[in-house]
Amino acid sequence: MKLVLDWLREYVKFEESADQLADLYTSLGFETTTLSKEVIDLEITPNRGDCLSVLGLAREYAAKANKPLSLKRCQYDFSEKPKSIKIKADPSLVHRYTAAIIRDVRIKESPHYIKEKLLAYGIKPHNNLVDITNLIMIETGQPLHGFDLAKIKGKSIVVRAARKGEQLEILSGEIIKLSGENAVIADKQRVIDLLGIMGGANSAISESTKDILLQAAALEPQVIRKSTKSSKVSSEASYRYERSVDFEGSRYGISLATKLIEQEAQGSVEEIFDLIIKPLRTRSLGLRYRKVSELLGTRLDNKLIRNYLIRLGFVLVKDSGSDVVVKVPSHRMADILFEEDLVEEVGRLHGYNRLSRKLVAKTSPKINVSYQIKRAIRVSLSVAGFQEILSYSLVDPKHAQALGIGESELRKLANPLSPENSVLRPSLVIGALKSIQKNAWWPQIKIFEIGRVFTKQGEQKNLLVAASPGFSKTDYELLNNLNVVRFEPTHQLSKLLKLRRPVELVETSLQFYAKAAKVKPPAATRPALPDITYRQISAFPPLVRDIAIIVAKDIAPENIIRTTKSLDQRILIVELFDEFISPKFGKNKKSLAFRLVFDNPQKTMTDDEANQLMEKIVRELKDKLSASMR
Amino acid sequence: MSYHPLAQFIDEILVIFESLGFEIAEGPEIEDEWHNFDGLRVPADHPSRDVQDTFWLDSKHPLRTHTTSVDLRLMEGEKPPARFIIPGRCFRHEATDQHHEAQFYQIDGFAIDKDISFADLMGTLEFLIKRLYGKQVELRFVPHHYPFVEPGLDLHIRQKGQEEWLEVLGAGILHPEVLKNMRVDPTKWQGFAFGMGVDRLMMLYYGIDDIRLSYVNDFRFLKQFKP
Repeated sequence: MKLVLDWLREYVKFEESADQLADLYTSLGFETTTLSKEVIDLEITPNRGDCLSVLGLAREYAAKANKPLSLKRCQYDFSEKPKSIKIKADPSLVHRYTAAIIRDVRIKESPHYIKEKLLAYGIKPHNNLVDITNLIMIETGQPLHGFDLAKIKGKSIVVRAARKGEQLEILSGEIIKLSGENAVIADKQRVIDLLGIMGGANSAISESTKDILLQAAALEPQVIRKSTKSSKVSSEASYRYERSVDFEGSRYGISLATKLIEQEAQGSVEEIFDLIIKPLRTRSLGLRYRKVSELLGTRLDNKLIRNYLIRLGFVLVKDSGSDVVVKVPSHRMADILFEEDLVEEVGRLHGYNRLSRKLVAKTSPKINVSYQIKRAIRVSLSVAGFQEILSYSLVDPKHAQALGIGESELRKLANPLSPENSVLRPSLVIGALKSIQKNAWWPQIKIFEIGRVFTKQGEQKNLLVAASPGFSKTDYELLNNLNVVRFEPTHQLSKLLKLRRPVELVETSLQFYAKAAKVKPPAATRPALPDITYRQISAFPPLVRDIAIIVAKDIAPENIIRTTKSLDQRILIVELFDEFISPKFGKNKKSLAFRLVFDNPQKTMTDDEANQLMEKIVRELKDKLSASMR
Repeated sequence: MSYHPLAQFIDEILVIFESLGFEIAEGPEIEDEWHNFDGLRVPADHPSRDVQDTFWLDSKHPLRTHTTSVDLRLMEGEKPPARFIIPGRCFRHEATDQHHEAQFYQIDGFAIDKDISFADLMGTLEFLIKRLYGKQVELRFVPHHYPFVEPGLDLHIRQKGQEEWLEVLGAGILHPEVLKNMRVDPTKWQGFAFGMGVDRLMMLYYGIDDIRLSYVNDFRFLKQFKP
């Protein structure tokens, strides 16, 4: 919700800058960003419908800053019942119907100050009547709607559930087919309003309108939610109604709007009434003072606790010294229901960052054995040179079918984002082959993935190990007893994914693999997070080169990797893939082989560029480490 | 070692919580409406449902939107005191771009005991963040509404030299109705719960700016994370 600071100033006095206000509101639970020196933007969580207004946010400011809130003065004498129209209302839909009949209005363009406020909030100005109802909704949180009185047949307002077969053209021009899920207003003959969401075109204010019925209703939030869901229409009004509108806010809202209409549209009020259909049941809540320290873990003074609640609009009913009982203000009826809610209010106003913190007392650890085994599998495959991958759970049913898994076996989404991501993966093979295709430039691909697969039988944790063009002899030893499957480039899925090399792979349940490979939980602790500086990868293809060198036996490969990578930003990856010692290299010498990936963020890597980088690396290794090339 | 950076980051967080006595637990990715929503006080007729756009298999079964669903499942078979840490893949019905993914990893945790409070929660989260990002990182706790906790909070952090605060996780004291749904007596026990999106925490740690990189498995990306 955008908040214009000058508008806020109409309700509270403050000195803070936009940035300071943003911090203050953030500390109250509204994540706020500063849009300009004059406008801030607040995230209002669904429980705080009362703060979808300038007034609501002013109340929060006043409570936090402990300053007075000044409401605007404008007094009308409300009658309890209408005189010139008839109202029939279902109390399960509408709780209060406050309205005014205003004669001889002049519909025209709004004055500049109204248009400016609406534009700052993000609403396009329309005409003075519509603009005033929008303006007052944003200011007070009370949705308002104006009907052309002449278009209400029989001067009759009936609030009821819609019936199947009825339809209504709404202000946006859309024609809504209604059902029992919708609530409407009807006149003597027809439906004229989609209740709480949008007015009907048949009763709309137009340039020729003279007399209006201005309405400010209190509605049942769930009714409006159901109706917006089924009609797929929502509006600023329905957004507020769904999140609950203050039962006691309708008189203030309609008074401000009526006064403005008198002023800006030269209308004269014929009658103004406030019909209560279902009275609000007030709520008193008890708070044990000790509950505050039990939940927050910080002891706060009883008087302070009580004052915080009073500042937030709670009315003190009784204080026994150990407990306090307060009446919940009408604008917080939807979200203050439990003692815990009061504790949060106290903590919120005090400020979370002023509360004490302590590390939870340690207890003896409990080991999850199956998770330990998963860790052990990751260690053993990683040590054997397999790269861990994580692929997408949502896949293309065509790819599953190419694996021979029929439509009837697949778990399908009812609401996919696209057909290509519409089923849950029945196998890890699809993701693995996609990854292999993605890395086609890498000479010998070895990968593994641990993840869930889904079939009609349910979900299962699987392990997949794959190599392309194929497993080595040592890989086969690691995967003994397991069924290796070979995907030739002619396989239907390989063709769909444009794979040019064969792939060998094993996929089993994680449980089965643990048994077959006799995996034991790891004795060693896992390595710390790598201390690396991440480099962005290019959108263009890289080039791969291998280099084999002979160096002194005591030189750590990690040092060579670090030195080499620091030579040039384009040297992205340096990976050791072979290390062995042999007398034929000379005394105390060893051979190391590295795979290098050259990547240029600006363009496709060329051979010339790669050759230059190779020369640079060779020179450096010769000079610094007396390495010789093999 | 050739771990996926995300998997390794998850493990790093799990080990920190294991050292505090939390037990690792997992749950299903296809959930039912009760464990993912209603049991956590997110009813269908309330706008709090809209905060999490959801993939559905049918009208009763979503792909879980958080691993908080496992909190309820676990306590169906456990008696307090209890401490669990729950990693897992979650889903959100959201178009994919540099900052958004339809799948992501969450770690959820909770502790239920006689006298666990907001102070324990904030202190424990501070311990975690400082272990991950170093002592110099700044923390800010702000109120936030999650239907399953009361009071609730969001944790924002700011690394040295940065101007912006980043929201990194949500947490709170388990709501008494959620405790009841866990078959735990709220007059005798209280507890905290927290949930964090690991993708973003990992990206923040390494300075990665595209969330999708974790799932396309380009070796140029994956092979950078070697010690």
